[in-house]
Amino acid sequence: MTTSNPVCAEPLALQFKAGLVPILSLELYHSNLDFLERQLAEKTRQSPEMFNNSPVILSLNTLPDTDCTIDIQGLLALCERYGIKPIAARSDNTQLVSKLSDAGITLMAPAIQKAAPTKAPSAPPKSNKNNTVLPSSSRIVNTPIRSGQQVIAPEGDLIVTAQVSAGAELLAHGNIHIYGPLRGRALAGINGNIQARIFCQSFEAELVAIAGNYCNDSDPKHWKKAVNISLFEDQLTIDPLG
Amino acid sequence: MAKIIVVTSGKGGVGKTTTSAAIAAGLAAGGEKTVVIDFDVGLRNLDLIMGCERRVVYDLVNVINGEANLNQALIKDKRLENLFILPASQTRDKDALTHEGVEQVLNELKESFEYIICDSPAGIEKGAQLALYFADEAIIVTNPEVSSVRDSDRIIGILHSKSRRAEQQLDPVKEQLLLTRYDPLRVEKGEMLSVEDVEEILSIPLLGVIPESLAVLKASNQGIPVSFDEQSDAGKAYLDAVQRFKGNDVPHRFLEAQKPGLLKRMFGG
Ligand SMILES: Nc1ncnc2c1ncn2[C@@H]1O[C@H](COP(=O)(O)OP(=O)(O)OP(=O)(O)O)[C@@H](O)[C@H]1O
Ligand SMILES: [Mg+2]
Repeated sequence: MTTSNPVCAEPLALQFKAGLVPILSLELYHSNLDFLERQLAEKTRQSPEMFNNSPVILSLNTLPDTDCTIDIQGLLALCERYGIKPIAARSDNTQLVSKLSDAGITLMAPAIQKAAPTKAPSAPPKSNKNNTVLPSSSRIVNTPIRSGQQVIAPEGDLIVTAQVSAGAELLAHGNIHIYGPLRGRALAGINGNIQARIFCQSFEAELVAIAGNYCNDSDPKHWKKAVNISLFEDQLTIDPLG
Repeated sequence: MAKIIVVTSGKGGVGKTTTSAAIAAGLAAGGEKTVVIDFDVGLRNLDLIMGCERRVVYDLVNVINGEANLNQALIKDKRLENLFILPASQTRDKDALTHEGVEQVLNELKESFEYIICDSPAGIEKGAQLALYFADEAIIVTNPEVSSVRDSDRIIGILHSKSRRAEQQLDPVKEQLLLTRYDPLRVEKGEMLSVEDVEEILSIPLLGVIPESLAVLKASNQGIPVSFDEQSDAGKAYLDAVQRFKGNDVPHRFLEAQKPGLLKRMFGG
């Protein structure tokens, strides 16, 4: 079926679509180009296909405050040599912003970013196999969440692959998935997303809520069952999974 | 390599000090040089349970403040030459223990001991957090009731987030569950949680189940760790737990209510 343009009954020629395309960010912690090149070379040696003319966003907000002197032209040349195509940049520093726009690099709107580190980490952030941050701002937790603990995914989904104890609390901007028993509280869609859902493998929750609509009565029909919880006309509905 | 083991629970009065003394005595009896440290500043009673209260001259706080050295403060057990006690202070306030001070004492102990057992105070605040901070392993003492299990769950969360191993992203503290004051008769009647219930809620490996036993009170009145009473049910259960702690596979006992024996049935109880 073709969608037609209602005004002049002509076939549709273009359309803007909102979309989230995953894209790499290159975060810089240092302004010394030799130093940067050394580590880039090492990364390319480890995985030669890694960049391969892929578009990236240059993140200059991660530079220490004192490093606003970075040579933008030199940096762009360096990217070019390693097959990295900066399509935009992030910076709050006025000096860098004007140098970037001189070089024809688009600036991203000030990102909804967690406070940019004020100091460069002395070592590259260590990857933590228990708590992975996905590029889509989802959050995965692989360890049990115990009584008194609270885990938040402020910008995306929260995925827990272990149990959630009574007295523990999960909060997510998006959906919550629990591959284990949910015995504590789970609040999805905390910023008002009524489409958010909660999935869990064994429903033993103290409280569940979607976009502020909560329910804490424990229908024995669903107790300890795998369920899918969604919001339908301001009412939480619990359906069996699978 | 010396191992630092914290005995902790969150909830008070569940059997941490009884357990610290019994496990330490069991490990020392097996030939390993063991020290047990009382972290319960202001409420010390490990020395009472170990029967050495009258030999306390210096304590952990004195060592931290440099008022005494470790050898002056360590008390050697009367029965086992491998067993030592480092008592807590009776008089100081809870803030007398410092992070750096505790670390220094533990490092010094590591040079000459194989096992360092830390008897934690109750609660989940500063005192309990300091007692568990440097631990390699944790014995989570839990009674079969809901509030105790909940507090144990909290303390496990703290081990995961606030211990040295968590903060430095090392291998996590190895936690094991010790269910104490277990009364199978009351479990059958539904008055207490069963072993399975507690295991399901906490989902950590089970080190042992210690039955509710008069032998515990008797031993503590005499100032003897209950694991020295090898004839008692609690003593046997603690010695089994020590074997499991060392990696030996020992079946669990005392999980079922005792059926009255033949004589008892014939002549009444
Ligand atoms: N298995 C048992 N059977 C019967 N009584 C027990 C048992 N274990 C501990 N008790 C009793 O429970 C009481 C508390 O024990 P204990 O002092 O070891 O607990 P605790 O956890 O160290 O307490 P606190 O939190 O105050 O330090 C004592 O009176 C002790 O005799
Ligand atoms: Mg105690």
